[in-house]
Amino acid sequence: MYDFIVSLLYYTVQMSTPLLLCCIGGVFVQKAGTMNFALEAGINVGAFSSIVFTVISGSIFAGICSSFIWCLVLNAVFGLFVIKLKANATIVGLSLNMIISAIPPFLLSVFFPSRGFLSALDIIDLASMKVDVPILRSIPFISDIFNNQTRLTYLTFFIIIFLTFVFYKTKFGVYIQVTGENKGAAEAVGINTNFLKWVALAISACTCAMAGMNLSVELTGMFNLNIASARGLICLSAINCGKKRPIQACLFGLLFGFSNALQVCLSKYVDVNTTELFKVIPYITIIIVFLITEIPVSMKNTMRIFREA
Amino acid sequence: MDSKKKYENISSTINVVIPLFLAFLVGAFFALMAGYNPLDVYFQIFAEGFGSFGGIMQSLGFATPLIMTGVATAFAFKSGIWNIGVEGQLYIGAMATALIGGGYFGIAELNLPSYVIIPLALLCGVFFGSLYACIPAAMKAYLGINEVVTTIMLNYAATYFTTYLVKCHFQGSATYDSTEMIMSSAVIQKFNPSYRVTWAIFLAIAIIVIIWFIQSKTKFGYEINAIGRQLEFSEAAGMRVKKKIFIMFLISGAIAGLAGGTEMLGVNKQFTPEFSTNPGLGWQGYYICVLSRQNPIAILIIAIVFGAFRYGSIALQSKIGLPLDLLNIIQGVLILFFSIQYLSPAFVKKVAQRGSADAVQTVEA
Repeated sequence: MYDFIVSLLYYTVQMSTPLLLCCIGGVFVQKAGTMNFALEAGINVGAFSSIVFTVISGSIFAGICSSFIWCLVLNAVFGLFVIKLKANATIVGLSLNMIISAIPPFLLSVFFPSRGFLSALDIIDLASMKVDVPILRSIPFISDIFNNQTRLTYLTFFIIIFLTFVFYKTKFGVYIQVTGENKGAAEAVGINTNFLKWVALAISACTCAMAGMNLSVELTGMFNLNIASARGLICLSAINCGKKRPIQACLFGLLFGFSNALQVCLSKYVDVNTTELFKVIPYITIIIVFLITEIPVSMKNTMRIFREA
Repeated sequence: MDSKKKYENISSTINVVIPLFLAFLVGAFFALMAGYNPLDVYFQIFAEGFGSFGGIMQSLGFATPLIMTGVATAFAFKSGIWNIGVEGQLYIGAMATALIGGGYFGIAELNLPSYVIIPLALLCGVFFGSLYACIPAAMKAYLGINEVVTTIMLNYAATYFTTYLVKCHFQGSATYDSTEMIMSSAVIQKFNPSYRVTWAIFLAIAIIVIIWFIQSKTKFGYEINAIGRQLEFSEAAGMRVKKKIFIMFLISGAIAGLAGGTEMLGVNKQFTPEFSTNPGLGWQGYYICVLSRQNPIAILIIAIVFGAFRYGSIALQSKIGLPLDLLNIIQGVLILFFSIQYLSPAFVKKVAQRGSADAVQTVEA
């Protein structure tokens, strides 16, 4: 039982990392008033480009750089269509998701041996990706959970603190909040909302790239077609459940990471076929969490007029 | 007035032609990258899909489910609901139909004739498809939760859940993950065994006609149009918006379930978890819905074109090894560029006004 709980918590930390990264960056875009469905595409691009360029160049550093660059390019395209050309954000986001999910199998089947996955395990040493932290090593229970995680997991902790600080305590963050509350008012006092959206998209691109790298380079050392598996959309749900506030969004991100970990840990105790059923857990969790967070709001809502979600 | 209409027509033509051109340009880039001649590729896809009687028959076969999923998405879209969950509802409907048609639950022993078992199986698919749509429908209508996120989540849940059902409870005699073959009495016949198209295409066309009738000739259709255009106004005018949205979602799910069912009984003849992947019939339905701007005739035409492209690409994939993913990229890019207005409405209005002013002047002169 102790082992189960420890491994559950260990996997929760591991599985939450990409979700938390994606959430904390996505909060800015969402708060600035753009529904960013392209988070999913961002994770995919981050994961794919980091592995591809690692394989091509033979160095992980090149993979990391390209991951950031391509994520920025992707979000620049999103921004170009949504902010500059005023297209519908949902259509743009969903079609970017579809394009991005079709490009890796195309490139893989043309240039690499297998259509479904690309392994960089001969360049990436998975064991070296996990860090043994001296301070954590000696604390009994904590070390089992937090020690031997990947670098980005530790970095995520600081990124969340930093970006939350930016969100609440800097001029930029406050401007973003104002834009989210009332765009017209923000423009009236002379805030350049479009510029804010661009910066928010850039932040989100960087965090998405890191989330993708965490999944591909650090955890598995390979890319497969299902690597994002709706994590971007899960983050979007977390952000919405957390009412677009960074800390709350991250807490929901943790919750969804927990449900992912639960699925992984429970799968060890049943036969292979039943694991398919457990894969439903994360998605059902989201639906239930939505219900729990939204029912009280709608009970309070006594007006008959619809409320925009 | 005439010239205004003319400029609007020009504007909408430009809004279609430019995305098509750009999408094929991007596709050409990828084709070149893979070492194929893009013009040759496009010509061959077109020739395979439309070039021969057999090709057209195959294309219609691929188009049949697309028509239904397109209508399913578009019908909900008309009232401002994004039912991206057609994919999931299709899976659940297909599963239900495949189980009834495959003779599970002791249905095989009843020896029901075709005219009972086919409607029964399809109705089962319809029922479970709309039942699955109930979840996002209730959440959207009564709690105001964004339906795009919930429906996509439920898509994943449906895929995994049906995979689990196949693997653990309804594994057929085949060595791969699948249910039993459909009973011969439950099969929807093909026109000709060598082509993909079945009698279900008439069902698909009938659905288009029915939906067109509902949308343009009934009170319900008028109301959903109003809801799609101005939700607050419809609510204030006394329409039961929440109930209407709920019903819309259910109908959309029902059509999606039917699409899955006909695919099972006509083409696949057994449920396999991969029957609708890359990118999935429901997703293509969403493409068709966006491209057609929810016009029934346009849905029919675009679905057939998409079916032809799909068949052409599949044929090309087996012939010269060009990956099918190229088509998915082109379709995605097409939607992406389709989302923009190339001539700004203000510009169109200005030009149109100048045009009509000229017309007035010529009359005066």
